[in-house]
Amino acid sequence: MISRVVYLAIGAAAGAYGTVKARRAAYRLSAPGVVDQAAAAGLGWRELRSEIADGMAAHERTQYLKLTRKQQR
Amino acid sequence: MPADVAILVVTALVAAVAVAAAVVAVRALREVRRINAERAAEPPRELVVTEPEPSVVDVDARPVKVVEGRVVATLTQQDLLEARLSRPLARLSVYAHGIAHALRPESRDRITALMKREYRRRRAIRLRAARRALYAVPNDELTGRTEWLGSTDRAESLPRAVGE
Repeated sequence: MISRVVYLAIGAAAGAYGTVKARRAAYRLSAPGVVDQAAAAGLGWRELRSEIADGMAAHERTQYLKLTRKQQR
Repeated sequence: MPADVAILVVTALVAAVAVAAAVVAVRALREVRRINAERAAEPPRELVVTEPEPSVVDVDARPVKVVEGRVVATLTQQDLLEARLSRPLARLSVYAHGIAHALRPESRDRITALMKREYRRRRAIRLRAARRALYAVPNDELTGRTEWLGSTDRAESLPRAVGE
C-alpha cells in the first residue's frame, strides 16, 4: 500500500514537472517566445558591448599612464 | 524583360561607368603631369622659415612653424602617446583586453542573468495580459456552448473525405 502511494506521488511529481517543462518549451518555440528571446539577446548584446567598452577604456588608461611614466623617466 | 535584354542593359551600364572612370583617370594623369612640368620649370627656391605672429585666439599652445607657406606643427608628448596607442597592435591589444574583460566569469554571469531575467519578465507580462484578456470575456460566451469536447454533433456536420 505504501509503495503504491509512493509511486503515485512520484508519478504526480513527474507529471507536474514534465507539464511545466513542456509548456515552457512550447512557449519558447512560439512566436511571442521567439520575440522575447530575441529581445533578451539584444539586451545581452548591448551589455556585452558595454562591458567590452569598459575593458577597453580601462586598458587604454593603464597603457597611457604606463607610457607617460616611461617618458617622464 | 527577357534575360538577354537585362544582361545587355547591365553590360551597357558597366561599360558607361568604365568609360567615365577612364576619362577621369586620364584627366587626373594630365593634371599631375602639368603640375610636375610647372614645378620642374620653376627655379629652386630658398628655404624660408617664418615664425607665425602670435594671434589673440591662440588656443593650442603647441610650437608651430611655417615652412614655405606650409604650417608644420611640432609633435608634443601627447601626440606621441596617442600615436603609439593608435598603432594596429596597440589597438588589437586594447580590443583583446576589452573582450577578455567582458568574458570574465562575473561579467558573463551578470549578462546571462540579465538575459534570463528579461526573458522571464517579458513572458510574465505576456501571460498576465493573456489571463486578463481571458477574464475580460463574459462567462456566457465561454460556457454557453452546447457542444462538448468529443461530441459528434459538430463532427457530423463537417464535410467528409472521399472513402471516409
